[in-house]
Amino acid sequence: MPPRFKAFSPLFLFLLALALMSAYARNPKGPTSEIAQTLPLMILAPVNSGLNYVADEVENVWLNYFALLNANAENQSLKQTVTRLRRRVVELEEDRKANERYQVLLNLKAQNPKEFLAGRILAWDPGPWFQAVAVDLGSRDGVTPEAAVFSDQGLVGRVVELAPNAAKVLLVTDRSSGVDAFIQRNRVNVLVTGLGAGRLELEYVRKGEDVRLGDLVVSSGLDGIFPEGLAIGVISQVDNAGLGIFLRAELRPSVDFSSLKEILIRPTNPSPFDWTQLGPAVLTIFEKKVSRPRSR
Amino acid sequence: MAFPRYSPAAPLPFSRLWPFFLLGPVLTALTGRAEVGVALAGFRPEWPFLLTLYLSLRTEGYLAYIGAFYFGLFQGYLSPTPPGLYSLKLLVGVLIVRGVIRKLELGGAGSLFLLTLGVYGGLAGGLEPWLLGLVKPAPKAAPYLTAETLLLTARICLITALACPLVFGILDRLFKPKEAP
Repeated sequence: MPPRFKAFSPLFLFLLALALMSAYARNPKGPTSEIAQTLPLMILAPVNSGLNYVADEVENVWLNYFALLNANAENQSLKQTVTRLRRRVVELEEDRKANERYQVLLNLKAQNPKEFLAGRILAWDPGPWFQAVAVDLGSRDGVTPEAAVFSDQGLVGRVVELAPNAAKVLLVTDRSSGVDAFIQRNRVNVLVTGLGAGRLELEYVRKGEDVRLGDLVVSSGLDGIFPEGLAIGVISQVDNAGLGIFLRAELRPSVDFSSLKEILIRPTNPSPFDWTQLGPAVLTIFEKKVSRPRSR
Repeated sequence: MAFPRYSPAAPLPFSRLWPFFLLGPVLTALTGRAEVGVALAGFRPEWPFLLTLYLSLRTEGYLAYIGAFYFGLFQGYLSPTPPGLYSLKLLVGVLIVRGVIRKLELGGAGSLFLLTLGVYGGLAGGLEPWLLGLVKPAPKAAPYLTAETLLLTARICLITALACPLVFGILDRLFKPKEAP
């Protein structure tokens, strides 16, 4: 190594690190920032896949050979659960058919796209500042920035950075996350934001709105990122007593992030809500309400 | 358990350290794969810092600075942090450590523990959130360093400091050349 390089390398590296940070501060989506952010992810994603493979094999051996001691009792319990769930499936099937009929009536385009990509979580961000994960789907699988990520339990987050073979997902519990949503019971529109450390809160809900403990909050689809009707969380705390015009409410996330392994990604974002798709009957009602003169 | 001081006469050469540069990213990836309840609760050492500290104490300056920059690039691969943030943090760490080791007697596990506690605590609890706030302001105009994140950082700091003498012992066995009888 030439002595001149040895002498100047610290200064050069300090300047390089500062240059990377200032490039990000100027334009977080610029090419320099994107390459510097996605290159380590692209390199380490296969390492994480390998580690996951080894961990899964060890887990399989454990589950298949050592954890079958109470299998018989568990089998009986599961049979009862299956019977109960079958009955529930029939009920839900009836609800789905009814829902389809209502959608036809309203002439709404079905908001349930068939194409989702199934992926796995590669690794969790262990740092204290952000709530993020890496997943094994990337741009070559068709994932786009800001794509919605969810699981069978509900909303997980959105894609913030993309490499060809992996993506970084900002969880809904991160402090910079926000989701337009409504309370399922009474359709009160709310904004759900992350509090960090696996917690969520409701914002801009006026005191006096009907918000109760145990209410399920679902995505509204109006933000153009998340599909409609995904479970976000259950209201676990409501505080009406503080100062100000808004109440304070916390949610318990629907997704159990500590056991989350598989995720679904909607590769492209839904287009913004198209009001022209509303049926003429609904539009007529809407116009009547708008044009109705206010009584004094 | 005594740890030899850095000796400018016999620094570890790159020819022995190159596997170290592969080990760094793998250990970083392993932290991300660790059990959620363990890693996210802060029950883990910060490997990039430990490896950088090892380089600072055992090899020539330029290799330590290159190592700090390199490990820093990989450290933020899972989070939406600005690129260069962790590199800068580790480079400052090398600067401090190489300044300190010229003045202090660093011989035992106790001094390594205290050095890690002090340097890592200052970097992760002060410099890192400050730089992060400058480049990427936190939402809702809130500071990054809250009671929760401070507790998490303190936990990581303590575990990194506790692990340091042990990790140094293992790395010395792996990378230090055998002395001639």
